[in-house]
Amino acid sequence: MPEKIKVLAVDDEKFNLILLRGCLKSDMYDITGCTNAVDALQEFKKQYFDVLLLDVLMPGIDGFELRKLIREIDAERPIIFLTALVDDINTTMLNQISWDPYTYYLNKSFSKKLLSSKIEQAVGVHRSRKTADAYSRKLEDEMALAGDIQKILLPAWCVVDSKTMMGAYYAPSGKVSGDLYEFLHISGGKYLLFIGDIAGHGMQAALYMAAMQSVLKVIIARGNVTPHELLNHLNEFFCSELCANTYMTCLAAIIDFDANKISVQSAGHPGLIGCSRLKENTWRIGDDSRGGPPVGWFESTKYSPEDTTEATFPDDTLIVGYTDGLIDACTRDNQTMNESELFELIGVLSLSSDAATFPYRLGVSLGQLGYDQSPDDVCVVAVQKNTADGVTFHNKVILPKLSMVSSTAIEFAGIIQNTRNDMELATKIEILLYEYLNNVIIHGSEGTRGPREPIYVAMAVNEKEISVRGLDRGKVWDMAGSYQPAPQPLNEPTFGRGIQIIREITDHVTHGCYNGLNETVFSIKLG
Amino acid sequence: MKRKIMNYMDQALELEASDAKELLDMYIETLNEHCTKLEAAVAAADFNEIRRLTHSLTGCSGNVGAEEIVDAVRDVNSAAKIPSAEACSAAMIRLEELRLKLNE
Repeated sequence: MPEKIKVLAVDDEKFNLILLRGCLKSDMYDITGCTNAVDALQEFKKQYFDVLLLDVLMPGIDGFELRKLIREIDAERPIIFLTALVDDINTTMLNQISWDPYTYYLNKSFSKKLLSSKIEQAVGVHRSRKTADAYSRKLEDEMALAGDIQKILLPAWCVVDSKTMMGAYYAPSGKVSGDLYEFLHISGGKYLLFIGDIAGHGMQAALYMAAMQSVLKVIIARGNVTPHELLNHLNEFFCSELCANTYMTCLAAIIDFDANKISVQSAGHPGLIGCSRLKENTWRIGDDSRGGPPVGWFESTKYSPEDTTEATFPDDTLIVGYTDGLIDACTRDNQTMNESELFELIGVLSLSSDAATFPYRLGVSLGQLGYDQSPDDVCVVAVQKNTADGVTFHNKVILPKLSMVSSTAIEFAGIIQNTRNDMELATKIEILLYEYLNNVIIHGSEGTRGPREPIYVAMAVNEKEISVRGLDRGKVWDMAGSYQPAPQPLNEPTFGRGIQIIREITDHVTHGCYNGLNETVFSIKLG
Repeated sequence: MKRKIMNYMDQALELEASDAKELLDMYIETLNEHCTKLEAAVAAADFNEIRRLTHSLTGCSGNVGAEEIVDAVRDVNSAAKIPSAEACSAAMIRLEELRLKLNE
């Protein structure tokens, strides 16, 4: 049985309301009548009506004015004007009726068939639109959930262990992405760096991405593999088991951070770039013309060891990989950056960035240069050796859980106590980290959805000061940029009592935000 | 004319016979009330009130398929738009004839 249609009829002439009630007397309609606009508005606020039948000329508030008031409450509820003004109809009146796309018109000398069909048309269109909107919202929610699941499948935005540091910027063009990356420890100093890009966008690409990301972990779990073996496994899975009607450009690199050696093979993917910050040198790792076709192009493809590039790299090298969404980023007048410009930009940025911040700062720099339109998914990954750079002597990535706060604060304070035998400084570091991490964990993810992002913390020291550097991907942790301590007036803290405490402890704080990555550096003078 | 209205309510509005009869009585009552008010408005040369009443009566009459009355009411409405009290009075004669006929 079709859903009953609730009608609100408004006409200052009672006779017309009684006639409408008689005319629409059936199980299909439920009619409420009002003889003036004020009563009608009250009824409209009280209960849901599928459609309104309005007279145009009424004393006091007329039909058009009543529609205006209704539209303030509901912009799309169908309204049918019933009027005897047909002979007087003119452009002004036609305009008044037709400016609203959810308004219909019927002359007063209608037949039941005409009236019923007009009501059913108006209500049908409205109900279909509501159903479509609800379905669209559901799809949007599901896409957002799929995006969250993708993030869980990927490594965290920052990975740090005793040998390496990796940072990744991952930006779907919509809610989900066809890009993937992986950074896995294999054995000893060996790590796998993998970057892939499923052709196409949206859910289809995202589903293939999820499959490839999962199978990649399985292949690595089986034991040591070389880049060409990995690509062969992936091609076989892609063509034989996934039977995908698309393909994936990708790049597999085995990096030995003990021996400073890299073996890399590309399957139609942009090559890796190496940057030595000490030598201020930027180079392509391997020859882009080597390697095989994208995974999934031909089932018969055999990736061979001859196409793998073997190279060495200096200790301070930052290795950068990316998907072609980065090159596709364009200006508002559709200009894209050429590869040599990108190469140069990567070199310059690497001088002042580490692997954690580099991918985010690259995005910011592209935006500053005007390349702020990204039609494609973008993924940038940077890795480096986690060696002491002369000043940084302790760093780690922590899960954003309150239970991690105390242990992290105590760990960093303990290092200060052990290395400098300075209890006061150790206490300051402990309180500083305690307040900073609590702020980021409690307030940083307010109102955000999806998996919570880990926080990177590093401590560095030189002759003059000790600094604690935090990187988080929560809301902008507002310390009002840089500030000097009292007696200069302090800005009002935006959240958390901890900010005031931090200002008492520290001598200087700087804050930067790069494409959703917050970098906060707290400095405490020594001596 | 009553039969014509009853036919309209039966065929176009698909009303049940008992409802149609009741509505016809109500329509005649509404017509009588409006005509009384119209007479007074014409006598007072209150053209705004004439236009309001004739618009209302056109709607009611159109709804029950009383075409002759619709035509007569529109004549009064047109006269009020001139605006001419004399023309209104002249047009009212035809409306009054039809009203009496319907009340028979």
